[in-house]
Amino acid sequence: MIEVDHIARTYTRGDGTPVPALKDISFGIAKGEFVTIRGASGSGKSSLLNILGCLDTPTAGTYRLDGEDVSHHDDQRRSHVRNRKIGFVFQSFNLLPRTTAVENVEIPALYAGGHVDRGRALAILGRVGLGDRADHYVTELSGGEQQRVAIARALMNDPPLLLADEPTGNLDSAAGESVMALLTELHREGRTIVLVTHDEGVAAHAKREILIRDGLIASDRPQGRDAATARQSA
Amino acid sequence: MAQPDGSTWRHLARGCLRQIWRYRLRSALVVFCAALGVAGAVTSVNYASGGRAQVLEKIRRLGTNVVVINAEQSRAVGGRARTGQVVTTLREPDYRALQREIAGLVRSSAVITAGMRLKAGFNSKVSPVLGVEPDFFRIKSWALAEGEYFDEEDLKRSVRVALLGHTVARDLYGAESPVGQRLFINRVPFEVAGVLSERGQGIDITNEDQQVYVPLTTAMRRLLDAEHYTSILFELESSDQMARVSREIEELLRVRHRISEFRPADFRVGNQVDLIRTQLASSERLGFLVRWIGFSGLVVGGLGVLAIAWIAVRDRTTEIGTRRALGATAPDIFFQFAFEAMVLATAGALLGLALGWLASRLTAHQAALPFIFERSNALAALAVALLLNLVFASWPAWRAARLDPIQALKHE
Ligand SMILES: Nc1ncnc2c1ncn2[C@@H]1O[C@H](COP(=O)(O)OP(=O)(O)O)[C@@H](O)[C@H]1O
Ligand SMILES: [Mg+2]
Repeated sequence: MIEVDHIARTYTRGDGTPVPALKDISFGIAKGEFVTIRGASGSGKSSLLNILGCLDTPTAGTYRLDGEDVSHHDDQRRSHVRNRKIGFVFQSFNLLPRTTAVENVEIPALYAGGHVDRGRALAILGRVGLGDRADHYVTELSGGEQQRVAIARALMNDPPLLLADEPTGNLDSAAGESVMALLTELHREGRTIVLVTHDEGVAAHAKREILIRDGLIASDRPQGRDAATARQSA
Repeated sequence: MAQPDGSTWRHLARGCLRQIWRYRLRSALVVFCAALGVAGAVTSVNYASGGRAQVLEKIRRLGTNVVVINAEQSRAVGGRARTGQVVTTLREPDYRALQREIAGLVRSSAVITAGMRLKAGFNSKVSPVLGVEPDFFRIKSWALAEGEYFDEEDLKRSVRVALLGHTVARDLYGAESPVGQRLFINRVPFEVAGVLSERGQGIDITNEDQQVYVPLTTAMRRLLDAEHYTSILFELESSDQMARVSREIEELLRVRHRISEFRPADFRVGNQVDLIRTQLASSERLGFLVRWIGFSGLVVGGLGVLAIAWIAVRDRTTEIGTRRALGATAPDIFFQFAFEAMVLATAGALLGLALGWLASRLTAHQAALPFIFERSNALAALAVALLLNLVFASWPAWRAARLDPIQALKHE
């Protein structure tokens, strides 16, 4: 699903000094995996996720998504890759205000060309447990419900990869748990999920954890219930 | 990307309308700016057109090929002005000589004027009464509102008939038709033959609607017992001959009145072409100025659209980042914002056209100018406004499209 090969990302500050946010990162993620990327603030998690999400390109190395080398795509082609292959879940939900839940879910379909299938949007909302909230304005929903609408939106174009950046960061623990439960279910249904967090409790839901420190991979190991079996086989 | 089908466009369009509603205060401001610009431009240009049309109408009425000889007290006689004294030196032999000697005259009318008391029933007023020849009305291209003109036969017999200016008719007879009614002028009974059409204020100060017109000979013999004229009007074959004819009249009358060319004369030969030219030129200058003011209004309106669209892009940065992450391309974002602004600006421009029409009516009414709504002007204003707004709406939209999605998502 994901093949990251010696990628680096160096930003240039306003005064011209380079900031190496990612130094030399390589890993692979197979289809159907549930992986967390964990690290301290400033370690380079978001930089990595931006590249994985085709919002950014690495300054060195290659990134293959679904077998396609996307590291040199231009803005237009990356937009199409994002639209078809990636579902984003943001820390602050990023739903459009004064817009109903179902309209938010439909947005990715608007940019896919072809038919906007309201029935499908409603079905996905039902799938995340918000079938009865479809016509509510998002401001009328609780934080947990809003994040589930955002997850439904990420699923609209049926992308093979879900990327979530601190999806529980703005939620209380109960709502956070329900969102994590939903992501876990989606994983069980066979979706590939990559989740960025600094929270070990959240990371425990995943099957594998990549730990990042100063733009390098500090560790990459199985996690949670599978950890023991994985360690045995290793 | 697959070519979007109708359903996608419908969704995008509906999305835009929803955004417009969602930010309705801001949307209203865009509409307002665009409307004000167009309304201002349309109104000012129409106002200028009205002024110009009025000058042109006055010129048409006056005739550009008319020479007027006024019997006039020369100002310098005895070293000081002696106005108020009637000059009686302009007489029939002069008139006949001029008609005989000067080439290129097509129509003429001698005129004698005096203020007189009019009485009709219980109504009474003092008005200028003009004794004129039938050609007077042709020279002035002055139509009748009702009744009939008097003719040469009436002049020959000094018939006591009168034509009333529009205001006089209303003042003396109210809503009733004056035609065929009795009118006393200085106690002499007349019959009203007709009422002249309304002229309004002329290019000179006289208001021709407030005057009464009777046959020349009737005025001279039956009302004034006079042998002189107040003025003589000549219509020329063409206005090119104005200078020559004026000069020849001047020379001939000086000879006849035995006034050397170095002394002030007892008449003045004039034409109003020069006056008209200045008026027309100033109205053209005003028109030019007003067009510029109108255009500036459009630009200011456009800048309003720009400012508000710019603020909208800044306020909606997170939305832009989100849409980009969900797969919107830079052109998608551009079209979304440009379309939203253009829908509003176009609505505003059309509203401005309607407002401009109303305001043009009002200002024309207030300024007593003819109401003119030049469709070509309005369309030009609309076209310029739409073009300007397209530019001014595209700029922020372009900026929105160029935002880095990552920075836009970070924006809070
Ligand atoms: N656009 C940028 N320009 C310059 N430096 C940046 C930029 N984005 C991130 N950085 C720097 O790169 C490093 C990694 O940042 P980030 O990937 O956001 O870390 P994390 O998400 O783990 O907190 C930080 O030191 C940060 O200051
Ligand atoms: Mg971060």
